[in-house]
Amino acid sequence: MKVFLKILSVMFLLTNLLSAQSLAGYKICIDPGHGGHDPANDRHILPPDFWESEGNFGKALHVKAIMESWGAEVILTRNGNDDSDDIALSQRAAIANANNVDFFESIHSNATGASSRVNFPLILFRGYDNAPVYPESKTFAAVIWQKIYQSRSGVWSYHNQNIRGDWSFYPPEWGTSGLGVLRPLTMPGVLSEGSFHDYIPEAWRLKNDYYLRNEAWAVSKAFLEYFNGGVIPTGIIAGIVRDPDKNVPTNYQPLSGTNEKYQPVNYLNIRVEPGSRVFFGDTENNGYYFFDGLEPGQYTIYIGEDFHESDTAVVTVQANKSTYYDSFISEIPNYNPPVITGIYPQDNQVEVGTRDTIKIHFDLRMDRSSTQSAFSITPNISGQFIWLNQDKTLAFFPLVPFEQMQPYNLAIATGAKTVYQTPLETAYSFNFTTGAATPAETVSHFPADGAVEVSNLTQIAVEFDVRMNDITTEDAFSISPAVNGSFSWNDNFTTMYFNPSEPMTGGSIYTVKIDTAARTYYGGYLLDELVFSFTTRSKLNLISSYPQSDAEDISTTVLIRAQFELPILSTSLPGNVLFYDSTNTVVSVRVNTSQYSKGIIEFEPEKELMPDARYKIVLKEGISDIENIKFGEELLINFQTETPPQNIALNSVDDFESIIDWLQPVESDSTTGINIETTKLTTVTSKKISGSSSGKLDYFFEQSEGLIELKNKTFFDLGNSSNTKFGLWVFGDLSGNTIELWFKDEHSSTFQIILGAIDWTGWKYKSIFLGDLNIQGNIYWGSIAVRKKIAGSAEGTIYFDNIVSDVVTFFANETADTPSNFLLNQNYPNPFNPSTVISYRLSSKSKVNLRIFDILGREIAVLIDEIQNAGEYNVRFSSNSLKLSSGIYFYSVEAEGFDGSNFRQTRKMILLK
Amino acid sequence: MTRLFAFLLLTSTFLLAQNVSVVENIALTKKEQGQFFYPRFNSAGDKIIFTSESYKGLWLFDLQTNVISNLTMEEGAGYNPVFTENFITYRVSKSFNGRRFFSIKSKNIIIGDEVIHEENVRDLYPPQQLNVEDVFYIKDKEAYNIPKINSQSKPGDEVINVNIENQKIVLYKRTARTELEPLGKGNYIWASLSPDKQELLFTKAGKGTFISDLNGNIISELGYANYPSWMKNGKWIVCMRDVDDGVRIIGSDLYLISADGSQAINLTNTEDLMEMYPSASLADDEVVYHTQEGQIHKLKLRFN
Repeated sequence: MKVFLKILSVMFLLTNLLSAQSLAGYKICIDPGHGGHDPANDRHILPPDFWESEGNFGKALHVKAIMESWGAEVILTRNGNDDSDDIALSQRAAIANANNVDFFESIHSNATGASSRVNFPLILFRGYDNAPVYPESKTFAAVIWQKIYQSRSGVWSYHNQNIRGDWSFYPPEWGTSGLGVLRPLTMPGVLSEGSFHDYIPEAWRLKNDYYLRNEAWAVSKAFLEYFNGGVIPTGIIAGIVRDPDKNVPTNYQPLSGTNEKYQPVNYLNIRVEPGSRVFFGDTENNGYYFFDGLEPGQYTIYIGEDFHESDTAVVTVQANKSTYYDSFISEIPNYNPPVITGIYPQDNQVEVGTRDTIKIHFDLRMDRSSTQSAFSITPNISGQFIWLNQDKTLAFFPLVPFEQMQPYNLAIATGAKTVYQTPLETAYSFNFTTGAATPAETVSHFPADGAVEVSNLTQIAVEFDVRMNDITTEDAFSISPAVNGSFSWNDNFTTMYFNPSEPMTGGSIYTVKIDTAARTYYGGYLLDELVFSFTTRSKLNLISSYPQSDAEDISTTVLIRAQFELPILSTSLPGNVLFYDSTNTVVSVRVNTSQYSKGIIEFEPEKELMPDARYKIVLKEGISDIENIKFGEELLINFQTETPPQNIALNSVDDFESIIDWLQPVESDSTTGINIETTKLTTVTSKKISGSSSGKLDYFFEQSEGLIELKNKTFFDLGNSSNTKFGLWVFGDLSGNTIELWFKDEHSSTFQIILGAIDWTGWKYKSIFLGDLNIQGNIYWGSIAVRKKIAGSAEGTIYFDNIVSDVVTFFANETADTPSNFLLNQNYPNPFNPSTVISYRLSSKSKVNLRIFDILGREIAVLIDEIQNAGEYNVRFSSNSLKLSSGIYFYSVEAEGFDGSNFRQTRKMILLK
Repeated sequence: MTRLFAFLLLTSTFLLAQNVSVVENIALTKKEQGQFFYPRFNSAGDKIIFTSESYKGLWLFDLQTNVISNLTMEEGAGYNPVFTENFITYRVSKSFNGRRFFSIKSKNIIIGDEVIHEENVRDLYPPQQLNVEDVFYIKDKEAYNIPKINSQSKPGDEVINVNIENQKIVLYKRTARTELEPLGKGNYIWASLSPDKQELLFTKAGKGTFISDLNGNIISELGYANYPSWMKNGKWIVCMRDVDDGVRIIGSDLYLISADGSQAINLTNTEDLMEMYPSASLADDEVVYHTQEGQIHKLKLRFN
């Protein structure tokens, strides 16, 4: 075991040494220039049907893969190449800016815009040639120019370093602002024009993905060098194979002094030893081959093509470098007739799979068109041709299964020709017979036969007991009346779905049929035809509303809610939901548009409604759901707001300006059955009775029964008067759960009193008389509770504000004695967090102003601005609603006495969190 | 959810379109004063800050006196600074071995003193203004306010910051961090909260600009609308519609788009000027922007 571990350790070290290059900790934005296939912007070259947007994207994907393998974080400005990827230059820069990248590189290829042809790399940076906006950009430009220049051999027309400031290249006198993608950057960046795509030989090469990868290596190496990320321990072998006896068309304008005039060889077959790695060339007239990741050392390259002479070369690979070997191989035409060297299935083979691929192997590369035309199969069947083995193997894949236990004859007529147009000497044919296939039965379907009130966009599903062939099964499907739609399948092709692309007609009977022409994947029959019918919905139903019609005592801040059975089509609402007061004046509202997807139209008045007043809501027939089914009736909902609560006690017990004195639900021992992540008490400023905020309880019960206790850290002594009224403001959520107040007596016995079911929305004042508790002696209040009812909602949101009582509980506002002098006391406690009490004395009736300032003298709160009689005053100041940070603050009182006296004093206090 | 329930008002698109007008469009800076970019108002709307083309430095422009004064020449200071009434909070950048490190500073423009809140931090985003005085920034995936206090230690559930991190939108509440990709994977940019903090404005590169709720449910689509900014009434968005040829910017106008996406009004409609990067005032119906040549302009709008 120890030996094994040592070997592992050595391997680990070796691996680390070999991959010593690193860009870990760097964040780079790679911008594949352009995007999509707009001829105006995406630089289309025909021939060879090359799009710059495609080349740029291909290079960027390779750069991302290479640099991420070195630990860099790479962000691409686009992740595809369709028309929506034609991203504005300002957006590309914004992506780099928003993501805090260290460097930006926009990848492009170039064009002359003229009839002359050139080919060289050009790197642009922001600014003037000798005055870069970011000097680092110019430094990097020199590095990346060198890497790209060195990444090719024998294809350049210009050999001097070519890096430019964009404002030198596109002078402002031309009315431009330079490169639109570099100008808004917050970091260094460059734009690299790797080569010229309107030089046609280069355009052909840019269609080769390995050629793009080669440039990607150059870009990546530039970053590695620029960031001192080490060197790459492996090397590259690359080159171009050309035919010395053939020239490219003259309109290619091959660069003079290069080998570009010779025609590149397609269908290359190149091997390097040691390693036996093989590269198959493409058919895009570039003759390009490429091997990367080669350990340093000597390699032999074996270059071949079926109709060209072979070539061999010995080259040396060096770490972090590219080795080039361009080869010239002459064509050796072969006019021999082709010979079929193998087939599948074998002649007269039986029990052939009903989905097997037919293969015919030739000894020579074939002409695709003539060979496919010479192919026939009897009985005929739909299938797809695939060429393999450098066009020496023709494969035929049946798109529908062969009929089971069916003899087939396959023939290749003499029309099949080699690429040298030599025909097959003798027609060739063979026979095979397919085997049996398991039949299918339907297992289930949706909707059920005879179903009514079916969604007009329902997905029709049919489940089979075996894997089906999609083409024959979809052909066997029909629905009447006809419906436009598309098919989809589950992963194992046992369930077929039909998805209507538009709603079916409401209130109609539809009949679905799948006939026995459907086949299994292996050609088995569908044993029985399937027929079923269903009826679609005809009306959008209202499930509930709040208020209900003729309701009374509705809160003046009511949240109006109409719950429909399906998500609402928002565009159907204009003119179809109306809210009027008693004078038929429209009431302005705020809408919770996020509820449409739940089928809920929910809104609240922008201004509080008038108390004891009548209002009406009209839901009109045009309200539609997402299936375009209309409500179809006009519903009038009248309601009357409540009379304002009378004689509300004025002594504040808690104003929910802060919840620092409250335990979270999960902190109370009595709380049960809740989700502890989502059930919490917070403060919000958006809903409140007074002050800056209210308490908001978001809750989620995970069980059918549960309880939330909101426990105040203090038990408040309410005295012992049975006439004392105690209450609070509650913004209900229609949940049907109950709300309770919990008290204690002098012996710590708990008394729970139910305020009622939460069957309202909007603010309502809920109160009790202490006499209702039947408690002897002083009564102490400490908790609010929400109890889950079986029929109540599992989740909801309730707001609380201003718990008040009749009795004086905390701070006496005035004293009976008239003090002899003005006085401002030191606040207590001090330091404080979050609240403190400021007390002062007035010796005469005065206009009083009590304000809070920060250390810079900025006023942050006015606590008192009113006329007060002589007396002692205590004012509580809470820092929470103001979101103050720790520090020194000042409170200042100014009193202008009606007797002519004046008093002003300022004291310091400390908020310490 | 304070956006008006427009359909209940039974007001037509045409009528609404007539109810916005450009009262004034004035150049605040002259060519000889230099080139300035990316302007922003202060909370009170009586001062503007702007920067250089590369975000280096900050300049103060007093709308009462038309005086320009330089505040700093630090790198990156002009990228999304926050200007409360008399305080400017901004991020600066420095490069060490090619990696960018950031600091956050505040400067009192009255007495000129400067406070450094963070220094040379890698994962640090520019400050954002939550309301008239509250400023937050994000460091290492946590929200802090000015002065530096980890906001997560405080109660409250309102969204205090919306950021872009690793191509996603990230909402910060005091107690939670939520990543959003309302339209699936891609590059999200230019995200901001509505004035009532209930809606989210953002752009998905290549897809357009959208308004969603705070859960990412799309409420409206504004189309091609770059560098969008809420007007103070929360009912309109000001943005630029810049046009490029894949390499250079060849045109740009400012547009006002209704928050429901139904109306788009060209505010500039000039052929000789490219108006770019608008920013709305929190205090008035005003917008500042720069031209391609680097002059700062101010638009005054009237909503009837």
